[in-house]
Order: sequence, then C-alpha cells, then structure tokens
Amino acid sequence: MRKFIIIIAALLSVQSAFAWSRAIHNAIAAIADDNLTEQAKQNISKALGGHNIIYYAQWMYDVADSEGYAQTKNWRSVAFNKTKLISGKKIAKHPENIVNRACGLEALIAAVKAIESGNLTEQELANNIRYIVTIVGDLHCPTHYIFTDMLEKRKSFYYIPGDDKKHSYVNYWENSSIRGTFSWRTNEFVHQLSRKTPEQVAAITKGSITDWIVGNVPLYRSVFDMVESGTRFSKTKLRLWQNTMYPIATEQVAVAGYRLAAILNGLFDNSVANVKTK
Amino acid sequence: MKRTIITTLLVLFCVSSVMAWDGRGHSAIAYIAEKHLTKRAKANIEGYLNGRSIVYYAAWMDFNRTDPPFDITRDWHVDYWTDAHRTDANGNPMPPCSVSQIKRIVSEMSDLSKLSDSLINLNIRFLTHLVGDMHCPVHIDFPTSRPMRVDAINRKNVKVHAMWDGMVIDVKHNNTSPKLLADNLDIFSAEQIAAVQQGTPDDWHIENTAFSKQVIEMIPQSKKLTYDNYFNKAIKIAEDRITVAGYRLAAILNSIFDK
Repeated sequence: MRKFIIIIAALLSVQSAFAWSRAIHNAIAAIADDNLTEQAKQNISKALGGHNIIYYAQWMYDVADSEGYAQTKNWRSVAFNKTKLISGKKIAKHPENIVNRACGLEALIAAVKAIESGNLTEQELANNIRYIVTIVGDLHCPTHYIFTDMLEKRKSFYYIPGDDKKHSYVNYWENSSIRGTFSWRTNEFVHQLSRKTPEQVAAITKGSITDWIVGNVPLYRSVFDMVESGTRFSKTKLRLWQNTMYPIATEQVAVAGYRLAAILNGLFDNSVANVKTK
Repeated sequence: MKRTIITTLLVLFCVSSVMAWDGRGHSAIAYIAEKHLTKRAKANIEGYLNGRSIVYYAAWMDFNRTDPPFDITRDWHVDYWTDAHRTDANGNPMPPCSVSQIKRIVSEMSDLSKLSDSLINLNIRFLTHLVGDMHCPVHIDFPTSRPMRVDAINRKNVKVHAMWDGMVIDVKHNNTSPKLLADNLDIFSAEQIAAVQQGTPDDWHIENTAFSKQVIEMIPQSKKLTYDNYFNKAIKIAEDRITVAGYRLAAILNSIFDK
C-alpha cells in the first residue's frame, strides 16, 4: 500500500504542475482527433512526424523549461477586466504578475496566423500545431481566466472531511473537478463526450476564436463564486458540491475538443473554412 | 505540491468510499450493457438522455442520494436477504429496496407513452445503477456482513461492505479503465449470455443472495484477508457479478426500449 501511495503521489506531483491534468489535456486532444477530417488528420500527422495530436496534448508544458520556450509559460491563461478582454499591451502595465503573464489568446492567434501564412519551416509548423493543441485546452479551463476584479477569489480554499488543512479551489478545478467523479481514461472521455449532434457542434464552433474565449467569460466568472472560501465540507456536502462541478467541467472538455478540431480542420483541410481569429 | 497531492487523494477517496462497486465497477457494468443493447434500444435511450450514454449516469444515484428530492432513494441501493426480512419485527414493510424498485420501474416503463421524457430519463439512471447494485454481494443486507471489519491485505480494520464496494475490484483493476475492464469481462458466449438473462429480478436476487452468503462465509476466522485466502476468489466473484449485471441490464433496457 505504501508503494501504491508513493506511485500515486509521484504521478500527481507531475500532474499538479499542469493546468488541466495531463488526462484532461489528452481527452481534449482525443475528442478533437475524433472530429478531424481525414485530410486534416493526414496532414497533421505528416507535420508531426507520424504522431497524432494526442501525443502532443501537453507538449507546451513539457518543453516550458527548455531553452527557447520560456515565453510559453505566459501562454496558458487570459486576462479580463471584469468581462472586457485585456490586450497584451495593457497586460504589461498591470501590477499583478499573474495578469502580466496571461497572453494565451495572443499566442493562440499568433500560432493560427503563422500556420495560415504557409511560410514556416517543418519545425515551426510542428511547434505551432502543438501550441494550438495545448492552448485551446487551457483556455477552456475556468481557472485559467484571470479576472482582475476577482484576484482574491483565486485564493479561495476549503476544508474536506478528515483533514484540517486548507485546500486550494483553483487546484481542485484543475485536478479533481472531473476525476473526483469519473475514473475515465482518454478512451472513455472520447466515448462519453465526443457525441454532439451536428447542430450542437455548429453552435459550439460558431464565431471567431476571440468570440469563443470572450463567450466563456460569464460561465467562468460564475465558477469563482461556486465555493465560499473557508467552507468546511462534510462528506455529504462535498459530494453535492462536486455534483455542481463535474457537468460544467466535462462540458468544457467537450467544447474545447470540438473547437480545437474546428481550428485544425480549417488549417489542414482545404475543403473546410478557416475559423476566424477575431 | 504536497498539499495538491493530499487534496486530490482525499477528495478522490471521500468520493469513492460512498460508492457501491465504485465508479469503475458501475461504469464497467454500463459499458457491458451498452455493448449488448440493440441499435434501436441504444438510440432510444440516448434520445431520452439528451445524447448521453448510460455510462455517464452509471454512478449518478450514488452522487445524488443525500438531499431532496433524491434522498428518497437512499434505501434503494440495498436489498434484504430473504422475503422474511422485507418486514420489520412488527410486520411493517421495510423501506423500498433495489429489487422492488427495479420491478416498479420496469412496470412503469412498460408503456412509455404515459410517462414524461424527464421521468423516463430519471428511470434509465435508476435502472442502470440499481441493476448494478443488486449484483454487488454486500448490497444484500446479510445480517452479519454490515458491521463486520477485517484486515484486508495491507489495510487494517476495513468494513467488509466498503471493501467490496471498491477494493475487491481495485486490487486487481486499479489501473484498468472502465471501458477496458468491460472489454476484458465481456467474454460470455451468446448461449451463456442468454442463460444469465433468463429469469426475473426476483430470481436474480435469489442467486445473488447465495453470493452474498458466500463472500461472508469465505472470510477466515482470523479476519486477516490475503490474496491466497480470500481475494483471488473474491475477485473472480466480483468480475462475474459485474459481467452478469451488465448482460441483465441490457436485457431489461432492450425489453423496454426496443419496441
């Protein structure tokens, strides 16, 4: 049992450094892969040296500490002044470091435009695909939205039964919002969530990339109000609380997957229109 | 970092400890059932579930049994080991149990045109879960099983009920995803599947009662359970019960939704 706990702890220690856990990033990429056209899939595989996008679902995190990739640490989140998107220029003036680093949307748009330009080396093409795969996932995780008027709420914590320590709400969202309910692996995520009707997909992918990100704001702001900091949960109340979380989390995973597929189909299948960036 | 690890473990354990068969077992049952639904039944069911699979709702009843309006389902997860135990000492009926609820829901669903879509949606969730629960040996409330505690491999003083809800499957399949577990267990021949689908929920309950007794009687006097003296046999029983539950759930759902 001790060995088991050590292994689990080691696995979680790796995952906890990420936004959505690696399992969720894999799931988003897998849902997208399930919805790529055959031509897009082939072109992407060629660009990625034979791999699919699931293989690189969290690559941007894997290389973040490598030489030349430090800037990617700023591409994991977006910032808003209440509901207004803050541009990269304004971000640089903000006193809060967490806001300064929230350049995810700019990076995503830059990666899409770079591929659209068609003027990339093989390495640059592969990198930009991999950036898109990770960033789209991150920008559908509510806690990757930095609301300048709600910075204090990012520090929210709660207590769980049998433990008198403070537990971070942000960490809960990134690690347990789904895993606290479902023991799914990548194949189950695809089976359970990649099942939207064409009409639902059209609604999810309607508009531009910027529209999508801004459109997420009302729901994601509400997420920060879904726990009162300092709450002490009983086992029953913890379960009921989680019941309000997992439907939102699973839906965001599905939405991210379909939107990622829409971007990549546009870029890598000539018969599919590109998703507009703004 | 350490806090994150502990949070995640504790949250996961808090959840898993209240779930019969745990999420993995219930999901595996639903996956097996889904594989044996007719095309028409599957389409009809997913229509009522707004496009979701029955697997999504396999453990839903465990997540929703403590507060209104679903607190009325709290007692539905277990059953009594004989008809005599369905009444208390004064002859009053005991609370509704899994088998009686399954029978009630199947009867109610015999004419879907009389039910609202939302009630049908809810009944699918109930059936998916309860057919799983009724095949979990400790969910037949054998008088001696509920308070019993054992040392199970490296875990001390574990409730037998809790051990069967999760640990018996997890000691072997902890790293197996629910769908893979279902694929590994769904190996009965067509004849074997037809055979286990025969009978009624009452017949299945009688069969399960025998397993309920067996898993208690298997416990050595020392109450120290090892792979050799308990778990290797228990795992086989658990795998069998999950598989059989899946086939029977498919039979019930096909009978309702393939019309």
